[in-house]
Amino acid sequence: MTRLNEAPTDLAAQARVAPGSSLRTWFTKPTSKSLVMNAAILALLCLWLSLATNQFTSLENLSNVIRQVSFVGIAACVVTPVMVAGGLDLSVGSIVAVAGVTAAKFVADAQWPLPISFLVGVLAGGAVGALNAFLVVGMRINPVITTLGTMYIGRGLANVVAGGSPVTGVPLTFNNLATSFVGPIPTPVVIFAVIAIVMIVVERKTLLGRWTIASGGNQEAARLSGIPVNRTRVILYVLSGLAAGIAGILINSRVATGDPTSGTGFEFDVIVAVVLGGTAITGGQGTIIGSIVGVLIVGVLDNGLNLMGVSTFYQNIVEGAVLIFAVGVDEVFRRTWRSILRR
Amino acid sequence: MEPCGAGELLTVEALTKRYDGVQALRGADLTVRAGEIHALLGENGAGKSTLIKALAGAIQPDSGTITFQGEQVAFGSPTGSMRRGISVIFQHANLVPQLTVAQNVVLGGEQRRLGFLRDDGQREAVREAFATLGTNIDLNRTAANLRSGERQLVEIARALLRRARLLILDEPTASLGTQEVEHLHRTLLDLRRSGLGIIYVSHRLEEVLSVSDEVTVLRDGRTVARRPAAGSTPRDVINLMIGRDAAHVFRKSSDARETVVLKANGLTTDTGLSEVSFELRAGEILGVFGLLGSGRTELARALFGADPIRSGSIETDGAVRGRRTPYRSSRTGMGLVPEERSLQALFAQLTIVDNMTSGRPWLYSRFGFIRKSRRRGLVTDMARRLRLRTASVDQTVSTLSGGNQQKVVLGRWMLGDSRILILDDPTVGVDVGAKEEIYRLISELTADGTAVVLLSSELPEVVGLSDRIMVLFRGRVHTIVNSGDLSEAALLGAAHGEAA
Repeated sequence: MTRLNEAPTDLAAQARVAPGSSLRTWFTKPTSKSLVMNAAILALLCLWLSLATNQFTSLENLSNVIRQVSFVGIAACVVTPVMVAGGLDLSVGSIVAVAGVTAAKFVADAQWPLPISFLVGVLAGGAVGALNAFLVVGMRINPVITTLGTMYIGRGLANVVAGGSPVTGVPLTFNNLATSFVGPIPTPVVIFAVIAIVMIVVERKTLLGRWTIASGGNQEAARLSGIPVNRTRVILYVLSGLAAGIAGILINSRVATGDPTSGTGFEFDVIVAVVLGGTAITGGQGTIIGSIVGVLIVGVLDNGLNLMGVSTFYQNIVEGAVLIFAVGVDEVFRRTWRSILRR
Repeated sequence: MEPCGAGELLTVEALTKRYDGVQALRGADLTVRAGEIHALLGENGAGKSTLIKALAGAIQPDSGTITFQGEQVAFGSPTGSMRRGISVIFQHANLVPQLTVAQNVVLGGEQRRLGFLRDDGQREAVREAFATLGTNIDLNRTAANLRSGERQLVEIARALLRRARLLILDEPTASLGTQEVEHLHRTLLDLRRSGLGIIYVSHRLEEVLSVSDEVTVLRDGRTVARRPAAGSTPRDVINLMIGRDAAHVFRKSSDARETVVLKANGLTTDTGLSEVSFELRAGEILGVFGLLGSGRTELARALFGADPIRSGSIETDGAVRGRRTPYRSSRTGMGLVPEERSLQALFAQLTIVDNMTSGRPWLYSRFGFIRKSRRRGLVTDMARRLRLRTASVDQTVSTLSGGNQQKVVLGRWMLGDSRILILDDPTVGVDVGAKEEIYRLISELTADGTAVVLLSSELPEVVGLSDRIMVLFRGRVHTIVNSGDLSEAALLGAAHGEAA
């Protein structure tokens, strides 16, 4: 930590931020606070499940949990910056279906090689992302309305292309991507890890990352300081489409077909994880690592409730309650903290 | 001030208020009688709006007393002040645009029976209020379709319905046409006859003097004069408003060079500028002075490319370039320090480093990747040059004082050497010490050849720093003179539309 030559004269500011401790500066950030809290929640959850059930800590189960969450995780890594920049993407669930159906059609009907078909599926997701970008940034339509609209359009398109039922005539090898391993690690997990690392580097080390936070934090100030706000948002929407496309390929590969109903409700799983991870709905705040912890909390909770034989209906209730609890506690905590500081 | 007499509605004594580092009020006195129109006058920053906010209950004064209807009062909130019978009508009417006239008038005071609104019952009262005002606006029109003058009347009707005893009007005529102003004045004279006290704040001296009974002048947060309006000329009032000691004024020698770096030709915008033309030379400070609504901020935004230009052109370095955007302007060596620091310039939750480096990313990045230590080094050096009072450059900007925040914004454009700097009221809400330092930085910059457009509502600042001064009046260039050619009084007169 560099100190300046001048002695600080603003005593109020000095009192609020203790100089000399980068850990303390780090902890004053609201995102850091919620990350620490979420990590604690996750640890407690794991501890409880390892005591309450026999199977939770088995290597097979843990590997299963990670594989389960990697689909939502891939999308969450990119939806996070979209939301930090002040946007929203509700279309990711439908993009899963669009990408899966497109890839299945190309490999089954057009007989294209498998890798190329997968690539075309991902690009189809990117195309929906580009449509979102055009409508939100170019036409200045509200992102909630736009992506709600493209969510319906995407689902409809997937059904039209697939003819209303899962695509038939897909080779068995279509299943390999989601079920194969790289060494001991499932391929979807590897892809999730790569995307997470790339996005965290973008978030922390590149101008795009800085521009994302600036655009969401204060759009007018960002524009007036010469930041290409529009370009930033276009890039993020397209990336979001591509990431959802990758998740879509994996989800459909797992069921070995192109299913037009795949990814239904996926967008809400992603947003729940992102918001749970400390991203502000209003933008300007949030981290990818936080979202990954959010994804893990939901995944572990799901898995634990399954192991304990709780029905899906109750699972929904518990998940909804956890979301409100985690975000609500954070909010209450912040308010009390502020009133303590004021005193 | 004379001692309290009969018929006094409001007495304010020795009111003081300090906002983070700025002493806005240093002992303001004001006495308003029932049945009197009282003009409250002063330059920008003299403390008028702070005084009004204290009366409206929006802020709490540090010391001093407010006596209303013979009782000493302390308003904890705007509601408290309203209940007592004080209604403030701000410059931009506070109406809900989607509601009808009648709904707006009763807003917040709706009568109910068993939880259901009694619109019909209240309608009669609303109609009466408008009758008192001598107008018959259709009560079913939505507020969005009203003209500015009508909106003001709706607000006055609301005040009447709440049985206000004291009406405060803040710049009520700023957006009105001549006929609407006349109508408003007739209404105010009628209301005065019915025993209401009225405080009238305005920059249009001629108008306000013609309708007022008494005048109170504020300067530097103090009441400097109270006199009858009859027999006062705008010139007298201007002298009272300025009357400052000459030692206060900052002086600098000119650094202006020959090369013209920026040329505006007949700039006209949808935001209200018309036919604005001027030249700016390297190292020159062009002061732009004008009242609220004269087009100062609009000019700053148009030059930087933040608002589109309808006609006219802007030449930089002798050539008109394509469509102007903030992105392009910042990349061609232009910088803007906007008027509203927290809304338009700062990222409150980000650090000093992030805030200062948002303008010129190429200085510290390669292929889109940030070179962290280089970026930090640039900011640390700049913080030293700016004499930023902070423990660390990793501090969040929201923890800084106004003056230090403004230095961060200035630093943003000093990194990578801007050739043209547009400063829109750069010392608003900044304490005296930081003000002097900002002036010092400006003169350092011009010595290096940076051209500065200094738009300001503070006359001593414009006069003290500028090489030439351009006075704007209602979106047009009123005069361009060399600094020192016109007295402060003449400049203030010009800003009020008087022929120079």
